[in-house]
Amino acid sequence: MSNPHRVDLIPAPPIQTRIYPVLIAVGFLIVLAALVIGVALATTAADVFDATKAARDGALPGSSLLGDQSDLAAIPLWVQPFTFVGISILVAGIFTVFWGLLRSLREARGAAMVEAVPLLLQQSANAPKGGE
Amino acid sequence: MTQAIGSLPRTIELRAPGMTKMQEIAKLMWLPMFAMGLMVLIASLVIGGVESVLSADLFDLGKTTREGTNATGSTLDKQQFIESTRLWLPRFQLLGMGLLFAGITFLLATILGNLRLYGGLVQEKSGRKVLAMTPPWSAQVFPIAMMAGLMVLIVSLVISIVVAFIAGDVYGNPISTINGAGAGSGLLDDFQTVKTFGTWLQSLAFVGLALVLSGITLALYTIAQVLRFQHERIAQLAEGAE
Amino acid sequence: MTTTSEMLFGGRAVLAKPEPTTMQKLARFMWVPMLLMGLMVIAASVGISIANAAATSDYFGLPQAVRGAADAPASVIDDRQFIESTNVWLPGFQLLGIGLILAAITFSLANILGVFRAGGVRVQQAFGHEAETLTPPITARLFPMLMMMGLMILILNLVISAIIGGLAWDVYGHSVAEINAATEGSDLLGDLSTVNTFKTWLAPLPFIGIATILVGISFAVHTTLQVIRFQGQRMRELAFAGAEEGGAR
Repeated sequence: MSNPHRVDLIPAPPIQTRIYPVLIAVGFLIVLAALVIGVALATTAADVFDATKAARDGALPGSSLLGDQSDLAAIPLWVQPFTFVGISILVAGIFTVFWGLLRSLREARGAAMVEAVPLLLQQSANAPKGGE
Repeated sequence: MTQAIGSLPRTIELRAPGMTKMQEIAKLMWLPMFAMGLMVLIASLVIGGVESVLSADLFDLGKTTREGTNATGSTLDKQQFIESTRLWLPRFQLLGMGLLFAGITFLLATILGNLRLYGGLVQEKSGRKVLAMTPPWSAQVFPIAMMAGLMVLIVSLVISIVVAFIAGDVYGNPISTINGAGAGSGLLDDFQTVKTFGTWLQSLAFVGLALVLSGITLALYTIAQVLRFQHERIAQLAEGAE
Repeated sequence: MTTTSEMLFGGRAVLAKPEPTTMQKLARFMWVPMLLMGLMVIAASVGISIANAAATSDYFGLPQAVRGAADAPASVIDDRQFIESTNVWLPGFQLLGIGLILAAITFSLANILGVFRAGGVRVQQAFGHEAETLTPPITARLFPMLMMMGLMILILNLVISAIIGGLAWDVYGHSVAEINAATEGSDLLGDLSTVNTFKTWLAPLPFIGIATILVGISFAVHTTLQVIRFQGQRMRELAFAGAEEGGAR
């Protein structure tokens, strides 16, 4: 049976470890939403390009064919920056967890090493040699 | 003075534990760099939204109305905005990504600074020589890679903006006029320029992004080297080294 | 028996040798070829886009009347073929290059985990104590899988793009006039529809691959954070245990 963790010896996990999963989830969902929109738009593209060029060019204002062409032109113009925002939220998640790592490096590991290593060296120096 | 000690790589003796000047700067830079990147990407979302609305408006008119020689001033304005934004917005987005990743690079440099600081404090408090590792090649290269990457991203954005102005001039004319531009005319030359530059600028921006990401990879490699050194140094102290 | 908490956050295990795991040993060397492959892909895409730009310049340097004519010269049709097919697969290729560099970052993080593992054991043994290490938490098991899944998605995207690029090559091997005159139900119009339909959803697909790799990277960093905390905890444990022993003596 393994020893339990001694979490009383180090500070609590930094808050960044609770924030980053939210950012990762939101970012990924945004990118997934962009893919779903792309797939939906693909069905619109299929409808548009099933019509001949003459029909597409002659589509009257208010017609569904012109509306579909409008969607095909307009929607990618905001979906692409939207995808980049999703990726940037993901990168923000990575940034946040690195920030938490920096804090842990200082508060958990760094402070512990500065306190513990000199003690351990002293204990090694004072330890009874074999036979004493 | 650098020297190799036991199985440690070349080391330098420090007078006092501390970060290097570059690491002190990085400590201040990581958050603003990241914030700038986020602001650029949010701005590009807003601009993309505006572009999308204008494009929908434009397509509500029939093709003949949109592209004919009698296209109204507002139609041409929308067309100009859409076509010129299409040229610079993707590079602006990639610059935003580059700034985000540069923020991570500065954060990694801060981590390296903290490793150096605490490594030095451990040795000082133990009453032993304060040794640090001579910076490996990757420690010199990663900041250069990051800055080169950002420079390339900025250059590609600047070129995109210049070409966007040309696109503004071209698309200030109705599409039927552009399509009717004769060989050797200024309008056709500008149209050719806009189309040609639009083709290779994105690849240039990706080179910039790739350089910034390479900087991150090298920074992580440097962290691994420093950690290897630190563990070995503490083990040698435990074994009685000075 | 491993508890749920140990599975999620990592338990403790005794290690005899100051060595990284096999995966971590592999990661120590794999980041280099991954990084180089990524950079080569990006460099190749620059070369291809310059060629594409040359074709674009030739094509759009001609008046529309010449480009769109039924008897347009073969060179004009060749230029358009190259432009249209390259524009289908090149973005996916560039994102694959970025994905490979992100995979190099993932391998670098795995290398750091290996250094912590080996170094941690070395230090504890040097102080004469039994060496304990953190057993892999769930994030450590997931991040390599996420990296590979992301790369698979990027490669799949490139393969599909290449196939559609081939179809675009066929479509745009006809003159503009011919394409515009394609009748409803004809193969040419059907192929044109296929190309434009696939282009619409192929654009966001590689970003799913990139996003998956980024999630893997975040898990790798979180694993490193947990290892760092464990190291701090273990050092204090050893120091206080030694102090108690010394007091008892």
